Amino acid sequence: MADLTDRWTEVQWTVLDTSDRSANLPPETRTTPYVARVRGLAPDPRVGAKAELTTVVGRRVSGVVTELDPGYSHSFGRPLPEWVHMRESIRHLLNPPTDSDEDSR
Amino acid sequence: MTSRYDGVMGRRAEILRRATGLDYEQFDRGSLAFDYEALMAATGYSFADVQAIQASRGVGRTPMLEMRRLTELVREHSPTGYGARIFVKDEAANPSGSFKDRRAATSAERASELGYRGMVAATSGNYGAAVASQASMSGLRCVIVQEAFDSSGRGQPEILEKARKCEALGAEVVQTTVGPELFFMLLEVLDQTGFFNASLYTPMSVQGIETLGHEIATEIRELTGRDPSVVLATHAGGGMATGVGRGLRRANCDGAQLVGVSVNLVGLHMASDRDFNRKSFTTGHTGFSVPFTTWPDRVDVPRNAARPLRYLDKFVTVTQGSVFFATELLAQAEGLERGPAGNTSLAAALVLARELPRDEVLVVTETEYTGAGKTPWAQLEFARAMGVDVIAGGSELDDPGRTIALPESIEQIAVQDVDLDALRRSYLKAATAVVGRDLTAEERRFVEQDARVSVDTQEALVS
Repeated sequence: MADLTDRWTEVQWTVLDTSDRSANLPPETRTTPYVARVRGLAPDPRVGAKAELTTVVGRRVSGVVTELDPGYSHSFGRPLPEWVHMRESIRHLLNPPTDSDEDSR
Repeated sequence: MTSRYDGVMGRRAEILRRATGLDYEQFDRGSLAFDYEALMAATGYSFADVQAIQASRGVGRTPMLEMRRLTELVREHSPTGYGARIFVKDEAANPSGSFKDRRAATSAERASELGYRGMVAATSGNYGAAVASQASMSGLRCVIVQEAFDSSGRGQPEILEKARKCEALGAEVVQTTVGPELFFMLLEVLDQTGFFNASLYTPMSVQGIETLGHEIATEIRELTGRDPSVVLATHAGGGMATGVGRGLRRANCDGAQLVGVSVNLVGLHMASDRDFNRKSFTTGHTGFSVPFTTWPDRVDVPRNAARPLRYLDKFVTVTQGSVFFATELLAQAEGLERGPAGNTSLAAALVLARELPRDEVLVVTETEYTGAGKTPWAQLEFARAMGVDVIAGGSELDDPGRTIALPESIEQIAVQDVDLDALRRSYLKAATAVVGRDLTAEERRFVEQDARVSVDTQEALVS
């Protein structure tokens, strides 16, 4: 059982420096290191400091803390005007406007 | 000094052997050919066993839904007497929301039988959630390794949602930047944990999809009294085409034309840090399907059990915009809100059904769940933020990585044929490059089966 003082944490580490990366990469990829992130429980983590965490399967992983209590911020998004236009086209395709629709306006 | 990278990669054969519980060398017939059917039989699972495994896990036997209003709409835009009945297999009804549960179910069963304590899979697709779900069902631990973000730390919303779902189902998710070194990451986790490699490309994974093809044949016969004329399978790594093709054959449904459908992302480099976030579709696209069709063995197991050229009759691409159109149409016309990527084949159906007589039947093999990150709103808003133009217009205006054109009518959707014979020629070239000499007579016979290029044609092509 994890200690209550352990904190849900995300760490990031460099898996491969640019010099160790695979051959045959396009230049925009080759010039960046290969980086990974994982989440788990760490004792007394500080953002920007090194920490070792334990993942849900029990792996111990070390890295720099990027976030405490990391959640999810991806969303349903907002509609672009072009999408609204497409939806209206589909609505008319399925329900062509009739005279009575015009009358009720 | 050997680097950690070289050390792990140097032991790849040993790590994979321990992590798959299968000695692939027993199937080798020389340096190129191998006994494909022996590999598929090596799981020891009969077709009935696979059905029973899936039934015990709540996988498969998903609803086969007739798209009555879509069919009507297609008929309004077809020549007289044309417009086939469209059916969709609602694979979103599987436990984790996609057909990938079929592949994960047989993998989890195998991992349990062999005594592994956990499973690992390298995937940015719905397969991650499927493995996580099936692992939990078996009391196994699970790690998903996922290519998720670019060098600025920005994650593709669809992939972020898939990571969330994996974590919700109890898995550890390792997220990486862009690059083929994902394979190294996978090997390192396998080496460290001793878990089972739940690769998408093992024989049990592909066997798991055979039930989908079989269900399609039997359910369409029950519902319509005839065989489907066309079956549309989303095409990426080749598993869906192979498994569905084998399942249709198992049901003696030989007359159905199997069509692979991919989202057209031609021109975008799959290992590019810049192109990575200019894709609204992270699987089921040409970045996987073209290389995997021309050379299947570029995977995380020694031999890929997915061999699409053996089964595909036709291969078409659709645009990103037309898949968003199909997604909205499915919601409005049929009352089914489903994930866009799972509607790739549905977009092609809107075109191909118009070319078939109205008494014939066309089947779309899948749907998938949707949610935050997957919705067209999330995808299109992200695309625009990454500098992709989103405009109103027909498929011809779509330009992968630059422009997404959202159609205004069914007529504005087009499919593009991919020349399967050209892919067969590329396969032959790749095979010749792998052995580094002219193919032997036995190797030619293998290529004849594996790529469906006759020995005579091969000789004409190489001379």
